[in-house]
Amino acid sequence: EKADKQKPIEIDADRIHVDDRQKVHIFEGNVLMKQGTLEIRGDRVVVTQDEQGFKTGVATAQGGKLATFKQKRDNSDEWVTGEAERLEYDARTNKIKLIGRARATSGQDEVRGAYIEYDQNTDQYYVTTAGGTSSAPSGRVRAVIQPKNTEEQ
Amino acid sequence: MTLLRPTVLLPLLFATLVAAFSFWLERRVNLLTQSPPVEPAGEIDLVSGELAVDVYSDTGLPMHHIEADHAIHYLAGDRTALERPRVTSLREDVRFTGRAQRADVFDHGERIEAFGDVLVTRLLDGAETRYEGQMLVWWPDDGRARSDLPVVITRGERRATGDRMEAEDHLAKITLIGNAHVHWPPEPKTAANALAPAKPAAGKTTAPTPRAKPDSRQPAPRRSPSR
Repeated sequence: EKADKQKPIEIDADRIHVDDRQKVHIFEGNVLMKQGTLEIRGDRVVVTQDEQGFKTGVATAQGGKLATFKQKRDNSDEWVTGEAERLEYDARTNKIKLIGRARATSGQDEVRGAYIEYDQNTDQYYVTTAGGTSSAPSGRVRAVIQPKNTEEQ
Repeated sequence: MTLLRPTVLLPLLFATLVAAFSFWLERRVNLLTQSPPVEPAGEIDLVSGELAVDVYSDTGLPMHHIEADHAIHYLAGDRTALERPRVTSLREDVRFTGRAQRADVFDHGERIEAFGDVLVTRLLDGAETRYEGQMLVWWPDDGRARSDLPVVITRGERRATGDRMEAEDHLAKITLIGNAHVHWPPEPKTAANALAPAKPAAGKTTAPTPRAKPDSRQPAPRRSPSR
């Protein structure tokens, strides 16, 4: 939800490193980051803050697990969820990038690929086999879009 | 055997019992009256009421100013016990203050152990980092600090807590260990980021429409940063 941005961020972890000179926070061990309805989980989350105060967060998991996120959609009871080897959340652009074994769902719809970019402003995804910037192993994008109910159409 | 005749055995038994009872009684009395072993406080060579000390580095640079309501210096272990210590940095590059209910200063100030309502503030990049806890071990020369008890760190609106803490560079780098938590309110809206996020075009449904176009990057619509 867009109102999430006005909410405080609450982060729990086994261990936190704070470097106030570099403006870097590193969270390690059972990390749970919440901001309103947005929830990001991972084994390690690195949060950096730029001069204007915008934060970026990178979540990763270890041991073959995936970092995950979920967020409620605006004016809806549906949730957007996602998981990947690496999640990048950018508060400046309002985008979440899912990199490596990426999967995202919105209600009943699901997309899979090597790289997914979810735009919180427009509620739209960009899915590709190749990584956002570098070449990735060949693979296919897979999307499952559920038909809307006949009464609705 | 004459020894076993009752007239001999009974008095012998009675005497043995009396002896045993008096031995037990004497031991009990000693235990009760013996004062607990007092830890040797070591030889005291200085007692001061109001104390005010400026500490300088080996090269003569002013480091910090320490005050205390009361101070006792013990030769053993070169320990100075301070009551209600207050410390203020005199260094240009590191601005901090500190206070506690009591502190022990070891090895000419190489290590300071503070206890009871410990409050340390550190000014860094124009903002104050505030440390609150019930103990703090501090090595002033290299800026390390540690607490084995829960701590609260605040900086602006941000608040972090943890069961234990290790720090470097006079609290500029902090590691919180065990049940670590950060509460981070949104940054106050400044002019640069006060613009509201771009609204999707009127009438356009916001149902997610995955655009699966391998390798073709559609440039994201240009919009100003929003928070």
